[in-house]
Amino acid sequence: MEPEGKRESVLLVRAGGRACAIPLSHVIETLRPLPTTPCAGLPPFVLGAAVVRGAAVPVVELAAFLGAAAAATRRFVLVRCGDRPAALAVDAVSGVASLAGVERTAAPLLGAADGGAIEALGALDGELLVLLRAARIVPEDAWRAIAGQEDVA
Amino acid sequence: MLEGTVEALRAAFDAAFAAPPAGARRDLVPLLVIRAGGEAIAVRVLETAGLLPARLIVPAPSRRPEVLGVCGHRGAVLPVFSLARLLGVADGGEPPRWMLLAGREEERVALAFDVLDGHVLVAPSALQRAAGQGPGHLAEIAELGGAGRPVVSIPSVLRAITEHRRGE
Amino acid sequence: MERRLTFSQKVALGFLLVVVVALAIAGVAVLALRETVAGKDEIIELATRRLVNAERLNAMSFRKAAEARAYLMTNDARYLDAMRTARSEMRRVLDELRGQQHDESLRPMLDDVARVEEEHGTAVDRILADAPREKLEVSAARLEREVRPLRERLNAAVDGYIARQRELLEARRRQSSEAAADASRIVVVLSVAGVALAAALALLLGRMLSRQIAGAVRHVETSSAELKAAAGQQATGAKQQASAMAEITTTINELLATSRQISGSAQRVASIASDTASAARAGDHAVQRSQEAVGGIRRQVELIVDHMLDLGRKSQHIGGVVEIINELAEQTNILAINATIEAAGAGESGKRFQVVAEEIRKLADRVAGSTKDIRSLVDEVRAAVNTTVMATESGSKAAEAGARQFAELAAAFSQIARLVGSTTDSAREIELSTKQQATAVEQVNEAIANVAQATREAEASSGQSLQTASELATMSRDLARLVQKRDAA
Repeated sequence: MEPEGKRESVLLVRAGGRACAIPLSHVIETLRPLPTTPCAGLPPFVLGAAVVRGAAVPVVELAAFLGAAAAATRRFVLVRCGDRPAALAVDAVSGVASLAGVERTAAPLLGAADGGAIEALGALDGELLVLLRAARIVPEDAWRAIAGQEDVA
Repeated sequence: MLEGTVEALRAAFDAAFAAPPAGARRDLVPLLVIRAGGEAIAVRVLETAGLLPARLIVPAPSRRPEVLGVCGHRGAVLPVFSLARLLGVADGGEPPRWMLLAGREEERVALAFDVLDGHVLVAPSALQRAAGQGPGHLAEIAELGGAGRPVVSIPSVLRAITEHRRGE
Repeated sequence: MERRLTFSQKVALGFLLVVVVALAIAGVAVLALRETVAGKDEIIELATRRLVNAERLNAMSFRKAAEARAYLMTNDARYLDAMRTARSEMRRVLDELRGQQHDESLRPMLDDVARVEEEHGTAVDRILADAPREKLEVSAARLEREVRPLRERLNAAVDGYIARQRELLEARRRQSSEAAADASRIVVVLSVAGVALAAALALLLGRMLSRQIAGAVRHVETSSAELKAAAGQQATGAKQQASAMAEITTTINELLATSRQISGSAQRVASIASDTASAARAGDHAVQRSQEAVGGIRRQVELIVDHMLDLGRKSQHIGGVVEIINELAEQTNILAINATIEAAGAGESGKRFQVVAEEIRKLADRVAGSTKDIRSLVDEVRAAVNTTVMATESGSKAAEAGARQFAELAAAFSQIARLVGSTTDSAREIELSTKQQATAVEQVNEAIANVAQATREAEASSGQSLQTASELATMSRDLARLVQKRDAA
């Protein structure tokens, strides 16, 4: 593999008909959807909390997050938001790819994707690619709600 | 039976993600639970060089009845032995479905057997040395699911093959 | 006349009476006639005999005279004998007369005559005795002188006797005539009486007869009317009976014809039934054979169905296996990706592992792709198996249905055979009963023919009775007319 400054290994996923890319460094693992418990005080794109690897993690519907309609959620992508894990509910996991020369353009506001969650927009195979910054996906108050839920659980 | 199996597999797989990560027990011994010639046996995975589904075995003439023929693997031609016959039991009438790769790269052989029952990790305590040298390269007994399963020593089998070859 | 007597008796009695009267008349007449005849006979006798004798006397006297004369003349003894003969004859006659004389007045005359004759005879005898010695003229003169007066006295006596006799006769004659007239008067009277009696009797009898006849005529009229009515009724009844008989005969004949038809039909039915029975039996055999064949087919079909169901189960099994494989492929996919992720973090040592992981992932994808193909193939197979199973099941069901239909057909055949059997029996019974019926009908027909014959005869006899009644009526009318005439008279 060529060491490239701009070359980045990403996990390609599909959510809401869009192709998204998550830097592989932020990805812990992929799994199938686990039972999600909705809780109060969560933004609409946060479906609830699920127990993954013994811990309660918030489940974010990526399609809703991006402001698109979700197809059937077939995968959870466990990502690191800072030091806390979160699960992204996506339609499919396409695979691992090495992105190079992805044009990063200015990220317009996409749905609830404010707070800098969208790092860049790119193109891959003629398709719009949304490069996500995982850490910014889950809002702060959701963490608190999840934490409360965990205490209750 | 099968309907439950899929759900069971699914549930087991998904539950594994929900459960806290189990500490990797480095001392667990991986075994292949197989059947050869009707004999229920096990094999240490680390004694093998790989597992293949049995491909086309081209019969080759040989004075040794254990030799089934040769097969091609990654550009190389490997001799195929019947594990059952090497163990001294009669073959099943069917052609074998699996092949274990064993031996060093230069002396790689394929050991053909009939049924692959599974791949398990057992604690070393589940393996017991058989008293004395068991017949047919059976050195150990593995306790699997409450039943004892003889563990075939692959090095022993290889030695038997090599000695015989030297004897030719 | 007693009324209890029958008319013939009455008539007989009347006739008897008339006959008696007639007989009386006849008797009287006969008596009178007899008397008359007797009287007349007597008279005649007298007339004949006595007068004749008296005339004979005369004749004898003359003869005597003549003989005497002749003797005188001839002196022939023969004339003497003749004269003596005449004299004896005369005396005989006289004696005869005297013997017969019943009347007292005549006897003296006869005695007288006899004396005279005696005298005469004596005279004559003297003369004659003297005659041969005397001359003829002397004898003749002597005769003339002596005898002649005697002879005249004799003659006168005889004549007187004769006259007396004649008077007596005349008196007798008158007497008898008067008696006859009396008798005839009596007869006439009696006859008249008899006629009157007869007339009275006739009248009486006629009246009685007419009364009786009238009564009888009335009886006869009423009876004849009744008879006529009865005969008419009989005739009508006989006609009705005859027509009814004719109808019955027609009906019976129709019945006979019908029963013959029925018998014929029954025979045909019986033959058809036996044909049907044999056909049913043949059909039964055919059905049995086809049932066996169907049974064989059904077994084959069941085998096929079992195999197909097995195949279906196995294809489901395959589907289940494919599911597992799919699941495993998916799991493998996930694990491979996770492995790649791990390897990316592992640096260099992870790179080879990453390769393997990638291989594994590709394998998983290939498996998934294959399982997709397999699944579609399995689906196709299962669809085909389902179709086949359904087809074979429907075929099996059809075969079963066919078998059931065959069984039903066989049952129907058996039923038909039973019905045919019973039909045959019934047909034979019908045949028998129609034969019996035909015989009975023929017997009835015969009886009816007899009755019809009797009816015709009765009709004829009633016709005759009618005729007889009419004749009787006519006769009674005639009789009545007769009686009426008599009554009118």
